[in-house]
Amino acid sequence: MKIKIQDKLSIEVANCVTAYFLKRGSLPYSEKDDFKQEILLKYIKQKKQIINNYRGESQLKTYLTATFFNFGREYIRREARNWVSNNPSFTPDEADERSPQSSLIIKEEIKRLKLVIMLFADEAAKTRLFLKCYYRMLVLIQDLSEYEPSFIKLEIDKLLLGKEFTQNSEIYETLSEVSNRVENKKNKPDAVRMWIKKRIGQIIYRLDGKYHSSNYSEETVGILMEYMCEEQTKEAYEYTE
Amino acid sequence: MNTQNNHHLSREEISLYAEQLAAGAIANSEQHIAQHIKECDECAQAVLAVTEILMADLEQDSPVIRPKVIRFPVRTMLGIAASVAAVIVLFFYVDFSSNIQQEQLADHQSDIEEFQQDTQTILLITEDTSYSVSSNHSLGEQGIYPVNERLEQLVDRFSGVAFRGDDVKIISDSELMATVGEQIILEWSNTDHQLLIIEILDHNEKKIKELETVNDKVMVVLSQNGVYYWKLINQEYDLLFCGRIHVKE
Repeated sequence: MKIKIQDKLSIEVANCVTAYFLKRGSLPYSEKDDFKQEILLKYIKQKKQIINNYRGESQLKTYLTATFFNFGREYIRREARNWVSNNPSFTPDEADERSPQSSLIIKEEIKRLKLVIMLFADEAAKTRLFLKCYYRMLVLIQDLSEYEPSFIKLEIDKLLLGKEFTQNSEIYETLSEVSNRVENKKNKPDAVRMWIKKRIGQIIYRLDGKYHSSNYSEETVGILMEYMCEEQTKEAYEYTE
Repeated sequence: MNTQNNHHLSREEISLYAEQLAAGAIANSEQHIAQHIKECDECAQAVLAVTEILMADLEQDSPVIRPKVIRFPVRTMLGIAASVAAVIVLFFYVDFSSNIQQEQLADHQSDIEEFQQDTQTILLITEDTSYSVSSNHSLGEQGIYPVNERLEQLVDRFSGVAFRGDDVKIISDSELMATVGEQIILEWSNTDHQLLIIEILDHNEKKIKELETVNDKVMVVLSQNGVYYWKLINQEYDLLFCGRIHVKE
């Protein structure tokens, strides 16, 4: 006697989610099977409720991915204190760009940083531009146009293009002027400083995750930003050629 | 769509936003979801993870581009025939694919009632067992998989035997067919709730899982195809039953 359940999809998703946590270093390899078993069991026990809550607005597979990710995160929160992690942590400053493995990791981390910045939605372009200034990187016209399409009219290009900042205070002053023109506000430089610090903190948290093994800091986010901008500049150069 | 009571986004809101992010279309997303993700690191992490898993999946699924090969005339004819067949297959695929999601959901919903059965123990086997065809094999509708001669003899011995011991009566068939990921119930009657041992073995007679129960059924999910065996043993280590499970892809 058997129950006729075609549940291959849930196993497939559980495998993907397990692989994700292993890849991110949140899960020791020795825990792989227990982890997968736990999230599948939880799913089976709560299946009725899970499926009832599904409205069909996203793909079923994506919905199950979000569900299993949630279960996985709960499991790791509960069990992580018992694990001695052997997973090496990754930070971009430790990576040797020349080795194929490291350059692959850097590429993946750049992709993640791009996604993290995109999650700031209507403030994504502002985040990218302000961080570029904060980390003293070359500002491109594309950065300005993405932030404010009428940047020429507001003369923002004159404030930022080709500018080399030496002091942080100078950056905050200029950026407060920029944001006041665009957003029609009267923010002080200190408000810009706090905004940038908050954004960097969020980026670190979102890249690291509470239980991921990467170990970002303000400095290493800057290094990753540099890699990202190099790629962006290269793409822009190839496009104009 | 409602955000959950704890003020985090619902799983569906997270999955929908992840799909939009992966497609580079977050401009189409609902304003309150975008605003929430901008501020909430927990939800943003979930969206990031789901997006990454989705994108990795898409990269895996992307077709491999192969170089063009010029064929001889006969092969060209065969190629045309194959193309016609491919178009027919594609037609059916397109026809069916639009309903795949609804079917998946319908499958899940229709299973719910059955899921509510009082299955006391759930057992999941997730070990990877790779198979190669050997001299001893079983040919069934699921394909050819190696079998274990000794265990096959045991299965034959217990085939059609319902009563073993005073109180234990086997309800499951001696041969069960399933697909990978399908849930199978191994069932017997155990009115006295005596302690029983269930063993699941692979074709090499390697014990994959063992568990004890006083109940009258266990649910098994096998994640690899092949031939498996299950044994029911009492406290005195008497073998009460040996059955076969065929798992196909």
